Amino acid sequence: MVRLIAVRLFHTIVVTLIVSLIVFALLHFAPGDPVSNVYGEQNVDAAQRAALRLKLGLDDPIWQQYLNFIGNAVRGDLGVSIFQQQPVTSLIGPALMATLELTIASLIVSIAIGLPVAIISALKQNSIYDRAGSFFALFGISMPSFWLGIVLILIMSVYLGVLPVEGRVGTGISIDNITGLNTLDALLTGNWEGLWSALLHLVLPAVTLGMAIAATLARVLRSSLIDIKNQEFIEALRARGLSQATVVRHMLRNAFPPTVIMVGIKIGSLLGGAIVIEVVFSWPGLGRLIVTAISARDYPLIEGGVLVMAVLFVLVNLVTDLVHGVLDPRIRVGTRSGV
Amino acid sequence: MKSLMKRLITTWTRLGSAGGIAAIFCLLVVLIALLAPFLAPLDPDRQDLAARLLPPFSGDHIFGTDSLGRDILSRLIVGTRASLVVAFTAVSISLVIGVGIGLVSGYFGGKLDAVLMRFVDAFLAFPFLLLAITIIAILGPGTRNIIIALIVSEWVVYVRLVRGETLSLREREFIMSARMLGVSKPAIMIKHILPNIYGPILVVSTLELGIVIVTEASLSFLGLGGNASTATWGAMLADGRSHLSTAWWLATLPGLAIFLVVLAVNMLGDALRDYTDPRMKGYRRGGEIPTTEIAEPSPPMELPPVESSIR
Amino acid sequence: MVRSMRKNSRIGARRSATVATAAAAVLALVLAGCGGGNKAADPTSAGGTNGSAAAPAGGEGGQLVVGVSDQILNLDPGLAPTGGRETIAVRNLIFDTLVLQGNDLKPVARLADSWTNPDDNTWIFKLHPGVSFTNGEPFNAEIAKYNVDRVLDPELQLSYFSQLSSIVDSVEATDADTLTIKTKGASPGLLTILAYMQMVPQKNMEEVGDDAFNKAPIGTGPFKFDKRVGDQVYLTRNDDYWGGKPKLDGVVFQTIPEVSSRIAALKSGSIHIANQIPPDLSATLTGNVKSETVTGTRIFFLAMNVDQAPFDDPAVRRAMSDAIDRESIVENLYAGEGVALNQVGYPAMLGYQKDIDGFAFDPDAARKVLEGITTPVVIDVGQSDATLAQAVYGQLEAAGLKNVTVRIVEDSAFSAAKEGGTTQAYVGSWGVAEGDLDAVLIRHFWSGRSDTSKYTNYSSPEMDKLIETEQAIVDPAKRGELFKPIADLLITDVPWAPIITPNEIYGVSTNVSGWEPSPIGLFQLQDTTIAG
Repeated sequence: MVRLIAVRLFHTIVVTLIVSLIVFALLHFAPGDPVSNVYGEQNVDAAQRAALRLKLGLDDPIWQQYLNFIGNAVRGDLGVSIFQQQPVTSLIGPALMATLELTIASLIVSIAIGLPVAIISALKQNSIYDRAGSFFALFGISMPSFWLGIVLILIMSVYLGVLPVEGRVGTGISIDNITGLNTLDALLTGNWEGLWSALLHLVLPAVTLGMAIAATLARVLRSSLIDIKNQEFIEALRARGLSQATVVRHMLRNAFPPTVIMVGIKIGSLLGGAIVIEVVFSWPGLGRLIVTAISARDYPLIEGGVLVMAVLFVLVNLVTDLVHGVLDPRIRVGTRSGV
Repeated sequence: MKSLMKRLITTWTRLGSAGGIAAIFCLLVVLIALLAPFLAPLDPDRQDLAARLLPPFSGDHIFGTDSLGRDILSRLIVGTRASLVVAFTAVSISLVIGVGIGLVSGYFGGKLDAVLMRFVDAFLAFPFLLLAITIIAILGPGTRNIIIALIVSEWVVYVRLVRGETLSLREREFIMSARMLGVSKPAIMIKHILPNIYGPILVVSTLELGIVIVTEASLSFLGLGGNASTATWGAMLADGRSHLSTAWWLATLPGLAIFLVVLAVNMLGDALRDYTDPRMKGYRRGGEIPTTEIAEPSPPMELPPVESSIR
Repeated sequence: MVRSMRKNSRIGARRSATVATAAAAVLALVLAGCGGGNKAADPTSAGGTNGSAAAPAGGEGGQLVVGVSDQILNLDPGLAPTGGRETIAVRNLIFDTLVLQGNDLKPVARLADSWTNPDDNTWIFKLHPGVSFTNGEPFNAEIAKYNVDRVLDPELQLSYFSQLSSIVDSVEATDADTLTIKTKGASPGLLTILAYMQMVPQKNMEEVGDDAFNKAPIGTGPFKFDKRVGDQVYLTRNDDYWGGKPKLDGVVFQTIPEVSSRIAALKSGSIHIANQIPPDLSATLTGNVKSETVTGTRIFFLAMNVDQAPFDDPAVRRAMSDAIDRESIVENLYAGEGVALNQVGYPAMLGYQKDIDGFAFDPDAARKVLEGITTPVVIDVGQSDATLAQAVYGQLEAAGLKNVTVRIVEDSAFSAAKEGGTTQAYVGSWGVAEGDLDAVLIRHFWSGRSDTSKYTNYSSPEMDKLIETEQAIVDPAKRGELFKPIADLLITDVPWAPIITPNEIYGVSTNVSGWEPSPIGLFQLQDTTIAG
């Protein structure tokens, strides 16, 4: 296990280096100039533009810029955002927490929907419930999530006016920052008004994002449950006259490992893939932060943001594999990881 | 002729009614794409600023008009072609690239495999949409460049899939004996391994098709669709977003089109999976992953990434 | 949405580019029906929850919440990027400037009560006596001099450095209330620059430094900086404001990039004013909200590269312009909210020629030329103006131009292409908050421009001479006449086919009074009240 972790950590470093190289190369080739974006339409002469370029180190050879970036990143310094004049880390922090909060909420939503659907479908295989469940799953997977988001906004906010569509909490409501997860912070400080506001703001984006995972979860869990249902030890449990609930509990325990992997991979893709949702709901997450930075060519912010996202993605995969290994001793994770 | 009919019937029964319906729907969509210029009731590009944002069933405009007074139905029909061309091209090219690299990586293994896999991991860890945005920023707008951006993010899916399959196949007896008989490595890969993984590749490609359609729409939605003169579903949807409260049909109809096509493609993919190999449940990106028995030959980390439509 | 920061940092107002913001963009849509009687949606309670005094009777006090489309960047007036009009608006409440641009775009008194020009190169400002910063530091001519000197310091490279240093020769505090600025030559643009140079306290700035000052700015303005929470900036009233105590307790600026969300927030009562309302949606502002409109200052145009076929022929450029039905665009696409431009410039601008015919829709004349063009034409456009570009494309096609396409280009790449002069044609815009044609000329049509931008590659010795003549005169009336031949030349040469200057539309809650929209996006809130 220790060796596995060491190997995987080494992989994480290699992957991160490759990702940062790709980012740097891409930015180097992309047309556009942060200096020109900083001054915009303002009448600033060529000399002053050159001065800013010098200050930002943009005239250095690309390899030197890269080495500087990596050198600082190792020390935990991701530089200063060209546009917001704040350390990149202090911009990424809150955005990352916003994305995490959305991710966690979506996972909760997806489990709340996906789990019952899977159990009912599996127990009543090929019944009308099963078909309905399968159709729901297919539906959830096929629906472009940004479109679902738009339709939900249309119904819940524009016509019914019952849910907010914008940001994380209401105006004038301030939640003390402890963890950066608004709902948790509000709960910890007993700020009920803040909690209510934060929860209301979470509903639509979390449901939109959660639907797709719920669908996937339902499919995976259903097929695992069906596989297990027909195995001998379950038959044996039934034969011993255990209650349905107990049998289901045993089935679930055995169906979890593959489901955990799926959910783990899902978190990874959520972290990076929810960009459109963040745009639709003006959710101040990491994806949107990076998208904005790209359009402004805010190099330090793009590089830092992508790096953090990549590290997270790899770490989540690592944790998933470890959890899976613990849950399911039959699998010797890492014995053939290509090392 | 008779045997063809018979084959069609058996195919139908094996695909199941849902798969059959999906197949017919997909066929219909392809036909619409092919015949788009003839099917569009009105010129999809003709603007009429005085008749903009008309609701459905206004005069000639069955689905209404958009923010420049263009006929939405005609644009939806023409947009079918644009969306499908992008999706088919992107999927087939990434398929070729991915299969090639996957075969080599899986068959030779060792250091080469380790290095290739780190690159694959890096591409997977790179937030896809951001990669696409940057690539389009570099290459400039246009259909060709959108396809390139999609390929850059898609190829790794096939590498993972093919590598995993190859890894498990290369230890099998018939490959071993081919090797003993002195069959060359390329020949083993192409003649012996590849035919054995057609099934999974076909299934994954079908499912990826749906994902690529959604991704293309997402890019247009973010304003990176490229050529504004061509109608695409994603661009139509993006155009309609700011008119949600006043003209709901602008965003709703193209969204529905995307949804229905992706739904049909997914249903077809599901049916194909059952048809080709009922055990092949693992390679559903955004779908199921192998149950433990199937996972035996390839441990979890070789699994294809699950991304589904959240893009 | 993903949009560019392109139009940031403009001196003066600009159309906000609706930058998707990085930090929290938050709004309360906590509706009463949902919150079980929770009145968070009630605007007055927004002030209450923030700890300030509850709204007193008589319609005074309370906290005004303004929802803006763009993020609020630096609050230290010197740092680059200067930020968009939203940022400038916030700073203009915290700080004062020597002069202010009024709603007619002409300079009016603020910290300077009056000013005179003994000669073309000398400006003498009489400052308002007895003004002090909110930390107690006095404001006087010495401080004003410090502020000008600070911008002129080549070490600091503050955002107006090159602009001001190219004009100003010396600054003197003649006495406590008199500031004398000597310019290198006649400089008609000085007042406009001063209108954006916000006065900072010397002692505090020197003590804390730029970065700390940026986080906790101190000025002489009607409101004091309180705090930043995510995407919100909180301001509280400056009770001792020299210009009279404001009626509001405080103001919150909140970034809400998505326009539909801004409108939803306005209608639910969680914000009182929303900027950047598209014309199509202004009709939806009914009931407890209304729309307020003011003439804008941004010019939208089709630019054509005079170095590239087919636009190397002025007749073709003219035909392109003739093909554009500006009236139809204004009436339909902009719901009548805008001015169709028959020349480079909008009516309120110095340099606008009332008496010329200028560009007009002439499809027959356009067709004669355009039908003969076989060269493919590619019109580039940034992500935010795609709809206008497509409308232009439709009209060009209708006028017989074949082989024309519109490409939507990623914003930064678009800027690079424009500035490099490599686009064949593009639909773009330029903000002219200065209200002075010169502001366009020196950036787009003058060969002596100070940056390296190429845009249309237009260059004409005749134009250069006319521009240099106009720049050497301070008196606006005299300059106005000098713009006539320039306007004529722009119509002959057609590097731009101007299209429209759209109105600025704001959504306002009906219980807000004493506020009017500004064409340059500033917020004058001294007399603003919220009815309880």
